[in-house]
Amino acid sequence: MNRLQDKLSRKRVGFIWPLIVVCYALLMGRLVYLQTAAASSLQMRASQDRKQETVLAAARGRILDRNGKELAFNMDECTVILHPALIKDKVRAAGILARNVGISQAQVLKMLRSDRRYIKLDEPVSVESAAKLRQDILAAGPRAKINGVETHVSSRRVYPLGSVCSKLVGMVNSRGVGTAGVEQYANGILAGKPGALWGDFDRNGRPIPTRMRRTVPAEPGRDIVLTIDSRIQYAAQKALSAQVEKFKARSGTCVVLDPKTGEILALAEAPTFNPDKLKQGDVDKMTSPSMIHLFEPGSTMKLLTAAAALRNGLQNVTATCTGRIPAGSKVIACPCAVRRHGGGPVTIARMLQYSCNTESSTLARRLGATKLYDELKFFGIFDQMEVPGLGRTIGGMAPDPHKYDWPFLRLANVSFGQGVATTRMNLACAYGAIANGGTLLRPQLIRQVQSASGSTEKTFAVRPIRRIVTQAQSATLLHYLENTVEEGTGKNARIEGYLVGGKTGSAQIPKMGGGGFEPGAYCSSFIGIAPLDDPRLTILVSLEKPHGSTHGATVAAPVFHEVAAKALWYVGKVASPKTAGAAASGRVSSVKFGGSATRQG
Amino acid sequence: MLTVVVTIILYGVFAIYSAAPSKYVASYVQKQIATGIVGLVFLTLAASLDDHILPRLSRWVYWATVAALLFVDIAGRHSKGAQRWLDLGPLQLQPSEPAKVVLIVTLAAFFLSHYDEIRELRTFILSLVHVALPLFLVFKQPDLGTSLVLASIWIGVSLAAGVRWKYMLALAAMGVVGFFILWNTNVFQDYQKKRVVTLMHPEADAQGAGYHVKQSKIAIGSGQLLGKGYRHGTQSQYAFIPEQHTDFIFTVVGEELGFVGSAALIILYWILIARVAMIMQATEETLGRMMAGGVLAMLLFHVVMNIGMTMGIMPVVGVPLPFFSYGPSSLLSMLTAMGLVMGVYRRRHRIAF
Repeated sequence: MNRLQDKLSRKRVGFIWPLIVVCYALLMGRLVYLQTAAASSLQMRASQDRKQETVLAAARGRILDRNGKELAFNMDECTVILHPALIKDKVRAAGILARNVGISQAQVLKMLRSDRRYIKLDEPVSVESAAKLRQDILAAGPRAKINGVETHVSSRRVYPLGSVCSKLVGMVNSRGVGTAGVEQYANGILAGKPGALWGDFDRNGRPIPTRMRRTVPAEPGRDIVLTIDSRIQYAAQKALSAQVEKFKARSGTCVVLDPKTGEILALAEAPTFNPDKLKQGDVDKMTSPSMIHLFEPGSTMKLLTAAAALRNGLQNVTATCTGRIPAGSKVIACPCAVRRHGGGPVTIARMLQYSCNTESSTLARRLGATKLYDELKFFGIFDQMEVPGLGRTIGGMAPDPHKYDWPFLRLANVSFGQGVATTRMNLACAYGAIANGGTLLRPQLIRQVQSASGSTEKTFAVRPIRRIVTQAQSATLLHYLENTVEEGTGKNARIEGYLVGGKTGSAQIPKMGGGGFEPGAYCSSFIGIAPLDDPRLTILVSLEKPHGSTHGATVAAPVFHEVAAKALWYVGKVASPKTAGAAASGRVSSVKFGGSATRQG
Repeated sequence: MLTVVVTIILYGVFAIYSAAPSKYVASYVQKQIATGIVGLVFLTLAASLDDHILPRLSRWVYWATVAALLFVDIAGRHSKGAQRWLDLGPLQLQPSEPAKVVLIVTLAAFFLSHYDEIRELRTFILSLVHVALPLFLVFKQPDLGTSLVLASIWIGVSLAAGVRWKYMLALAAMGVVGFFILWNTNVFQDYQKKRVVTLMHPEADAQGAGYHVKQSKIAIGSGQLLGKGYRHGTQSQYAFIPEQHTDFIFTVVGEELGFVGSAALIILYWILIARVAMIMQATEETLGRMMAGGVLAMLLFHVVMNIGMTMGIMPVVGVPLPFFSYGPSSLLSMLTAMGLVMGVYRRRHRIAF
């Protein structure tokens, strides 16, 4: 039985061979398939698994003022994160931390003894302090088991001038993209190009040194040099904010231009915001009203009416002011001071000096609606003006008299700056043109673009638009403005030692949605030019809805005075004794006087 | 046969050196070599044991093993979600590895003592009980791979012993039917079902369980004919493949030494298995034939499952590549098993004289 059984079994174990062969065929077949047919696709997947792209962030460029002072730059700092559970010697760790992060030892110890798994310190520390911190922890040795202290380097945007420049410079969001001001409009220049690192990485993300490594270094952003002089900006912002507060005005603007180049030396606006401590509602303050808010300028428009008159041979037209201007069924009041100064015929000079509506209406009537409109258009106040780095003004508007008839009421209104709207920037530019001898220039905010290494990549040249008045007309108008400050409504703008010209304005503010004016709401402004013998500054000051006083002379002119007095010094104009002789002989070539006829008071 | 075994061990050390995490590579290589030397002593011992002593010895060792497995289940050391190790001071033992060898001898001894009733159902069922006890304990660890090895050993030994085909087929049929019933009556938890599904279709879960297979296929496939060069495998050297010095060591060979290296290894195993098969066929000794059958089944199962899973044709169950994967317990048991077969071969010679 056993023998037989043995024989049977032995015969049977022979079947093992086909089984072995089948198994082997399977293994070998699969091996051949994987390493030949499927090899190339598998190899590709192998390299895909290893390949990764790491984005290398580009350093954002700085924003500098015209003298190289930093208005915005990036600073590296370290965030400190604590994991209390991983710190054994808590007392010692607290001591080390307290030394380096500026929090008291007791406070740190309390944090370390808390149940929290993860504590991020509120105040970031400097890169140096973080390095010192790590060094101290190392020095404490492995026995102290201080493992739970992490430091992460991050880059923060710093605005040294804070709210003084915030509306202009703007700010970046948490991802480092500009969201307001120059940061937004010139984001492309500042941002640079992020680089990338392609390479092989192991499963734990550590780089593998293979030949497939490729690095495209980040291209750092470029620095932008603004035309702003931060000292003038500071003066303008301080003076404006103080005045806005004093008169409880809704808002205020102070534009300082270099009339010869169109460069914006300062652009102060109130209310402003602090880029480091944003509050609710600050988003609404981030736009620039000088650029995008329309306003009815009021009497400052009379200079342009006067320029239009000079250009059309009406320089000798006079009017007699009675304080009342009949306009159809209505009567326009003329609150000017001519009658208190002897009355008599009102020339263009006296119109500006005492801000007489009667004379401006008379000039307007002589010009006609279409002519006046075309002239104002020619002076650029309706144009949209592109300002690189700041956006574009929205231009101005008035009903086109070529299409709609203007009644005399409107014609008269437009002549003294009501029923016509423009932006403060447009108006400042028109004044700038008259100051520089007659050429309208595009305003500029960016002076240069510099590479990160400091070399100049792009310079912005003066960009003339067109000549709007002749040199002679310009000189005449400047002289009128001088009279206005010296003897007329603009006395508050006077600056000891300089020849200064300017014009006040107090405009009613139109109701939202049309239909007349808001009762008691005024926009008080002053536009001045200094020094008249070599104009270096055009300064527009405008306060919306001041309380207490509404006259440009009392609300806006003092701001001009304060800003101009400092700015003249900063642009290198030293005060000189102001005499009639200086007025006659001291003027440089670009500004010539029109002749004695215009000098009559 | 010994030459082949030693060659595979040395080849394995070579592969471990490339595959092991660099921190531990020295200790792994040293341990594997030391174990190999101790294992050769075990092999000699096993080969020289008399065929009369083996059955008697096996009874004691069998119960000792069952006790060890029981102890592991209760108090063993955890590793990756399973309790498999016994901590014996500096030595860590995985009792499920020697259990394989012990089961081979025990089953063979059992069939030998019931050789007259070999074709009866009672014998068949009793043999099943012998395997069921350690199998259950191993399965509970849980260690599916080793449980399946134990099952394959039982199949090998009982077929070599000559149990009835009828019973074997009936058991297989019962198993399949039983599985389907359990599957459809919610005895299994959902996660258990999911695990089984992943076992069969690893690509369905590419980040989890299927990750092993995907990565290992990529590694082997990208090796092509000659491989990327020793210690230059991009997937193996950079930790893409888990368990690459133990269960997935074949991928290192496939990637770094290519088709040539991996085919050579498969051929070495083929020679070894063929030798065991030849000894099984040639021996006059009943016990020897059954033991050789068990060893053959165990080897074949290990090799096919392990290499098959790295190439994605077998489900992923943790079985080491015999003599090749890092693992002292496995190496010792395998060498002891080889010793048993060599003993059979030795006695065959003696009879021939």
